[in-house]
Amino acid sequence: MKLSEAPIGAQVEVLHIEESDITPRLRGIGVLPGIKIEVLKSAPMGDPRMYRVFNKVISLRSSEAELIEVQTSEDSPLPLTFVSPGKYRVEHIECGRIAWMNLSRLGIIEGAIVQLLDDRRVKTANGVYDVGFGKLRKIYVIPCKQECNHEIKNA
Amino acid sequence: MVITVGLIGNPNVGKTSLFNKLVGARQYVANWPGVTVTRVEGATSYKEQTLHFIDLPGLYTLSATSLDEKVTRDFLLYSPPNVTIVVIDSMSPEQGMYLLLETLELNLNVIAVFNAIDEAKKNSIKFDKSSLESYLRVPIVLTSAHTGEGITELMETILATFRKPNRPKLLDYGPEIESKVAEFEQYFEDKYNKRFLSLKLVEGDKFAMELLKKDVEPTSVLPSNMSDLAIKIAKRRYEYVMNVLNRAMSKSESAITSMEAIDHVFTHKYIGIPIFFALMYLAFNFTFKASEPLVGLIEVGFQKLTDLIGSNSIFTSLISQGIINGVGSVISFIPSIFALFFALGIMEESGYLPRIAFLMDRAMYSLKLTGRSFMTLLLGFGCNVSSVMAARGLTDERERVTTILVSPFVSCSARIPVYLMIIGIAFPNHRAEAFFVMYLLSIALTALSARIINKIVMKGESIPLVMELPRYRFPSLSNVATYMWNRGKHFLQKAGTIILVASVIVWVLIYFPDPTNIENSFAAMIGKGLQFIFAPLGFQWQTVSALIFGSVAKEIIVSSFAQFYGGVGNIVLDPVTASALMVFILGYIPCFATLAAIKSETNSLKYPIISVVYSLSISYILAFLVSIIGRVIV
Repeated sequence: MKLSEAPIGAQVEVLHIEESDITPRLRGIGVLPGIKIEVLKSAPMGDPRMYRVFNKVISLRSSEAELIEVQTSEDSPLPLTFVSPGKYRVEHIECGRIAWMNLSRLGIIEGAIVQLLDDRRVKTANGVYDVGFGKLRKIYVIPCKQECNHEIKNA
Repeated sequence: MVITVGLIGNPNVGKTSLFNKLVGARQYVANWPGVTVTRVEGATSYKEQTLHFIDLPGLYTLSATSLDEKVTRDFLLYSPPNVTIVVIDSMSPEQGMYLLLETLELNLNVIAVFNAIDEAKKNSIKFDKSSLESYLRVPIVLTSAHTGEGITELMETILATFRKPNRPKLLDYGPEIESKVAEFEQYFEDKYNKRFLSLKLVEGDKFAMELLKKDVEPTSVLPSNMSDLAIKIAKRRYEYVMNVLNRAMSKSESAITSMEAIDHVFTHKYIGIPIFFALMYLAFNFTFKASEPLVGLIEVGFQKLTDLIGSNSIFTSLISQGIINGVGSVISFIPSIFALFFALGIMEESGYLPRIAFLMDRAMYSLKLTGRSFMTLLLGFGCNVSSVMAARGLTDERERVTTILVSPFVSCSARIPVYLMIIGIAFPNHRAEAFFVMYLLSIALTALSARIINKIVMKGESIPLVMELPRYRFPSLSNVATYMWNRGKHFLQKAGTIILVASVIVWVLIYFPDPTNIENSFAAMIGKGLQFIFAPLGFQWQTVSALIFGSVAKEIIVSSFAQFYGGVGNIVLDPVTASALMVFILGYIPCFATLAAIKSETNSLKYPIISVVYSLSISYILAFLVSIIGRVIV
């Protein structure tokens, strides 16, 4: 995956950088294979975006971020739109109060275990729901480990 | 005995703040990277030693690419100071320590300063000084330029380091790289620091290639896997840095701060830009509301003084009309200028500006400029000369020249009195709004010109940008005051020099040959002679003459107007002509100082000429459009 394609909120690890005029400066800032980068937010129209390298926040245009090959870190929360079907724990939800209330009514709240079904519907403790793409994008999850291996029970 | 001390570090780590603390100087420090684009020097004495400090432009790596970074590298390479201070940001020390490791390869006498230690303490970041010293093998000083902590210790350390130089060699890059470095050393002359240059050569640095011995062909010696080696070198440095920090720094998990919440709103996808414009509008409103009483008071004072002296003889006329009325009309706007700079100072100081650059970057992209040049242009609101100079910080030559050429369209402080005067006459009830519109127009004209210049004069591609977004900082009153004073005092100096001289010249042109009737003066002859050019815009001869005199410095327009009409209060302008006049003034001819700066920064006569021709034609066209549209509407 290219850094320009990494979802906002994700933490990624640099794999490879294509050589260009700004590579020396990127190296100086610490954009190097093995280093973790956090995708913070994007400007209007999706370009440029803010990234955190160590504790410095930098702005990079997509044309430069494209030169950086990354992979998502294992423990990085990802939006539900970005993951393959399976069980996940909700880490945080990036939205306003009202959307949060609506989601919590479906059983999607921080810490809850949810399952993304093959048809992209979401199974929660409250039932199975069709959640719109816009909302799915705001739900950040991390893959479930052993602790949630049991079936999600309907309440 | 003079000890030279160089200050280097990443951009925006507080080198200049530290410099000010050390020297007791008042260099302005902004909260955005790239303020220092040339070296600034200052001296102080400590314990009977003279310490000569040199504040150098910030950089991330000694593989310099932009002009200002080259200033720093060349200084360290060709005239190494007795002591070099590498300033590191305690809040994000990794990048600074990387630069420290690079600097040590230059075989310099180095002190590492961890600055902003007060902020680090607040965020529960702790450093173990003695283990930092043992791993980095250089003296470490923890300072805060903000509170003054550690400054005396730093002075002591400078003396101690000077007496007992210490040039440690820290890193071994492993057999693969070390053998290459050893091999490359033969390609450089003895006068250079061979190890540094060989290492830079392995990193693929273009500058190191230029310094190769004459008979060495770069392509024949360089390894094919250079990019891999460069990454290995950088990784080795960062691994070392992280190892040191693992042992010598402790920090707690950071929680979401209120600053992050504010940032979320300020850089919001949709409301970020509207917020920016709202803040600018607020700043202009503040400019008027805060300065209004004082401006009125000064105006009345000068008016009374003129009346008192009278203008019966040639001498009293020179004093009252030429000097008091001419210069006073400009001086009375000084409170407004200071108020505006106060408001802008808060914006800069807080770290808000780079966020605007971030939001606007996309728009700048379509103009083939970057957010960085946007910040450079913002400097032009103070004085166009400073933005022309600050363009040195731009990596790309094409972007630099474009930024220089469009700089004059950023409405500088010299134009403020002119707008204020015209707005006061023609739009007394909508002053903040009219002023705000002029600034919007200035931004639009700058953007349009960048577009045109890129199309016609400089054809080229867009350039990459890596820009750092600094932390927010609560603006301190003393910093904002310094900012306001540094920019405002320039104006006062001008009032005492060029504006004074020009006012007297204008007075001579008005007084002779016929003191009784201004219509027969030389000034009127000049204005009437050229009035036909401006007839389509509806300008009177007074306006034409004022514009001609004002091409030296824009404030002279105010002073000429005041003299032609015997005081600002007597001027009559209808709103349409006033609008056309303001639009014309916004664009026409950069002042002499700016033209001189353009010439020296581009090192050619071509660009100042382009600038004059282009600005005259575009402002004439725009003013013409305004007057046509205005007459249709009114």
